[in-house]
Amino acid sequence: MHTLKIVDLTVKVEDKKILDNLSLTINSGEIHVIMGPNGTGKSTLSKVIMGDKHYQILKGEIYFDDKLINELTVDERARLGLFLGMQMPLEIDGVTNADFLRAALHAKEGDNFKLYSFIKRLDQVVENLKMNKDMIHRGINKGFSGGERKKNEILQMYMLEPKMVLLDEIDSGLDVDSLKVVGEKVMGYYEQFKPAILLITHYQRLLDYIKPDYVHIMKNGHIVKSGDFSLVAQVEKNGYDFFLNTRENVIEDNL
Amino acid sequence: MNKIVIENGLIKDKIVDNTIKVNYSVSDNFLAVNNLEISCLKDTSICIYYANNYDIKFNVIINCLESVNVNLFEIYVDGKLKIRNTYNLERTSNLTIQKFYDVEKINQFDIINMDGEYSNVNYILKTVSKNYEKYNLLINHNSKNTFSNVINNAVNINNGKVIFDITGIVPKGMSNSTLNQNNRIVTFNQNKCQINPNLLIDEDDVSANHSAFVGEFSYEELFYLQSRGIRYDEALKLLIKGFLFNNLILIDDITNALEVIIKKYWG
Repeated sequence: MHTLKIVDLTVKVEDKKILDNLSLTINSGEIHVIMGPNGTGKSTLSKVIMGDKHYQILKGEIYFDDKLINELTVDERARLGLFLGMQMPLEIDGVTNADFLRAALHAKEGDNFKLYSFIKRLDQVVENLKMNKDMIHRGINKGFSGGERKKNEILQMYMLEPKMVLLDEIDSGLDVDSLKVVGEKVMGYYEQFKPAILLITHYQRLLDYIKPDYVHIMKNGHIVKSGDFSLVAQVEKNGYDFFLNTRENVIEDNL
Repeated sequence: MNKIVIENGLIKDKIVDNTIKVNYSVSDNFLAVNNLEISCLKDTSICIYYANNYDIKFNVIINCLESVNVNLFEIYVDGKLKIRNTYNLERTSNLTIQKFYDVEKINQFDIINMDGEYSNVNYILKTVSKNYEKYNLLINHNSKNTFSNVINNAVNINNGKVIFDITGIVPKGMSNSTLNQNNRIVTFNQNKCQINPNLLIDEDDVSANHSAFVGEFSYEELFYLQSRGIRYDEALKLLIKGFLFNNLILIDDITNALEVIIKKYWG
């Protein structure tokens, strides 16, 4: 059992407070979704958990398996088992996907890394995701469409087998077919490995494929409402403004 | 593959076939310039390897005859060099030049004369700079329908300081010419580096692009790599390797030279 625990997290970037006393606990085998309007701090939360140094923690703690990770570097957090699937995965020309994944696996597995097993596994995952095999030898996300970039994030997730998966708007820019593939593959990973998953999205459509156990509505840097899947229907019906003046303690009430 | 190895100004090794004609002479005048002239008669590939222990001057002329396709690889290792390369392209000839440098110091002046219509040049330069390095490149589009593509990449370490002075010239009447320049210097010190991209065009029907960047690898690139568990030093090495290998047609000599350099400076 793995647990990500965020306690009273307050974060600023430059002079602007983005997260305000946010608390949340996610255990292995749970899927949490955070929804909310633009600019409310959803993506910031995922980057802060991952250790992006652009964001300054003013107050609060982030624990992974009872280990305080506030001061850990990005790569140290990743090696603990955290994974961030990004909203806008970067294109890095010159560094091939194969070299990148080999370095990542090598960092994770150390002396246990076996090149042959890596190649075999990579081929298998590429095939499962119905990706073009040539992409492996191209630069990271080089010339990839939006859908291919998101699939590449999912490929990395399968290769690295993280315990805590953060997916930041993994549905943005996807057509209906790609959305289905990405949604199903995330669920496939969940069913196989039972990680903790935190999904950030604006829209309900991704939730046709990924069924969350908990839904949180975020506004102005904190969680204003938490509940089960039925909350999604309320959002669809009433919009986010409905929750503007509501704030509940997510940990006590719902978890 | 034709191969010419020049060590300390002398030809140490020469393996050439009938696709090229080579003349080499060491001047004994007070300027002490070493002259190398290669004429490419048929489609060919050439690797020229320069290794020097002391200050040395070269004057190199490469002639691509009509309709000939040439892949040219130049590897420069050690020494302080002053070098002038002149590349002359006749009608419908294609020249791809890949240059790699790991020298102490260099002042280079390259001239590409696109004398023939439909001539085509791809010029790719990669260097790891530890000291003063100046690269001048002049591309003369002396005919219509000519195409030049230039990529200059430098990694600037220790006391490195790089200047790229790149000039493309299209005189009046040389229509339908294309010029691309992409210059990038990644710095690991505070020395001032410079890119001067000049496009001197006196013709309306021309397509010209240039980009220039001097700076560090972006935080976002490093964040992305590190977010998959790769340590900072290893992430940096991946980016450097990618930067230096990118856009190259790799042959063993180039791959080995690059691997040696990367290992030498980044472990």
